[in-house]
Amino acid sequence: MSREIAVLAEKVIAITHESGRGGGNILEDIASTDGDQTMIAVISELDIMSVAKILREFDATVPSIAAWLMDPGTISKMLDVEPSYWQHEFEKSAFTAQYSAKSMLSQLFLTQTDDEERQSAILDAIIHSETGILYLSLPFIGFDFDTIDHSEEPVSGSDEELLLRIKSLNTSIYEAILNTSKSGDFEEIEAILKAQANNIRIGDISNDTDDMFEPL
Amino acid sequence: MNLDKVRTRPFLLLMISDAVEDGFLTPAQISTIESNLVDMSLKIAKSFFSPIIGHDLKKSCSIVMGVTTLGLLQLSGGDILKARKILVEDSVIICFRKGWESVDSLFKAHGGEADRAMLLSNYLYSDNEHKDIASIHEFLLSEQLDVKLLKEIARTFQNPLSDIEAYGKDEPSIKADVQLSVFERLMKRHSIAHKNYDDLKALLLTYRDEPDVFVNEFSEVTEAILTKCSAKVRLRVEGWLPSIEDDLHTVFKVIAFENSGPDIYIRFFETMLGGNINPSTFMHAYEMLLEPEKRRHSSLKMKIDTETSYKNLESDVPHDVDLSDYGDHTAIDY
Repeated sequence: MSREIAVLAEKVIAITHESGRGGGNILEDIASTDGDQTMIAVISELDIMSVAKILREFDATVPSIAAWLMDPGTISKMLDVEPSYWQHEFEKSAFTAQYSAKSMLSQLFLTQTDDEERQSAILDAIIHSETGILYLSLPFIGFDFDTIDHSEEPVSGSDEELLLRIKSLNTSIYEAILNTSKSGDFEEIEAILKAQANNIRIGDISNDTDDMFEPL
Repeated sequence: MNLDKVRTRPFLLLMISDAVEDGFLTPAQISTIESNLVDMSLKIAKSFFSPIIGHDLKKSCSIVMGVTTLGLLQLSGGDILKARKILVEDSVIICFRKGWESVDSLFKAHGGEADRAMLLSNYLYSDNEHKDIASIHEFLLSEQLDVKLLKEIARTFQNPLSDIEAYGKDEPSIKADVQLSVFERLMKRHSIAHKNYDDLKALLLTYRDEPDVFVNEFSEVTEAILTKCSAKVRLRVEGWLPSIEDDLHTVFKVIAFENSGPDIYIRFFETMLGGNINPSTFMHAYEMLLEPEKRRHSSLKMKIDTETSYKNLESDVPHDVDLSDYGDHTAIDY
């Protein structure tokens, strides 16, 4: 890694610490002045929490260039930690977990739709994460799958549009989402995703404290 | 002397720093203590708050401080030598675990639906203050156990004459229910049903004129009620009995015995329940009032009317009626 990339990455992290949107804007500046490759190199130097914080500030209507250029593996890792931000969001009573996940997935799959190969690769990477299918299914718990009208164009930005987009990329993943969201419990899935994200966030903790919640 | 109070620091930190100063803890042991405290804080953060928010991490550290201090105080009984021995020979984790037993008992007292993160915040303890964390815990627990006990009493003694739902009752209204229940026992003893207004009037008159009779009967029926209660309920209710008895004596004295039986009936129960009576159970008595008396019960009349019109509304209004015009009559001034 060149020194220039390291300095830029440090700057992006510092700004992201204050604001995810600010971090995203700096990445766009880097892309326009130093080129996409430089930006990709900078992203690869960011910690995954910062990447998640940046991406969740954008959505399908205002997508982040970073979301378009990041490699599928990083996107999948980013989705693993993104639920760490839900609790705080919920406390601010801003959004629900379901909304957050849907917004993130829409940004990934409802923009740049001409690059099917890349989106299939992203979907593939997500499904290879242990909790990937849960993340993909979360937005559709409670969704009435019978109401999908296959003869008409779905409303832009709707749950249906996102679902049909995933189906057109990979039918078997669509089926898996259908099964999981029909049988899954919203709170349970949210809790699993949050717990996993929080575990990744705080990293390895020594086994000493494993039994801290056990009675003496 | 409470050293922690004098030096305004948590007992845990005080014991650690004194042990360090006196050379009882090696640098390796200190770093183990530190990393255990950090790890436990991270686990609290990820389990109850958010591990990505600085504020939540800080809060988690304070909770670990509070719970661990509580546990150390419990394990050592506040004895400095014992506390040092625990820290030197054992670990801060067992102190936390001991403290967590207390936290867990508070969780259990609040039940599965309670907001545990909020309950935990009661154990916050920062490093430069003194708190009597053991007393704080004891207070929280006994307070909640009493809330549960009062709920149980409210359920046991709830009655159709009262207008308040069991879950919304405070201590005075629960006590009023007990008082009512005691009095119903006395009525039963004299085979007086709720609609025997004149018999009730006669009974009240007897109690006013012969306090000894009342005192004897009161103690007999209350004993009968208490034997059916659990030990905890019994103890709590027993504490109310002297004031319930006094209260009844006073009510007997102020009743206007020149009025009709139904009037006395309504006023008597109204007084006992602090005005919170269920209008539908008093409709019959209201109808039996003498005409001039009815005018003096205008608030009960209003309650009964509201109740009746509400019931009519429920059954009469067709479901597809358009209520949208009703909004125009709102009195709220925007």
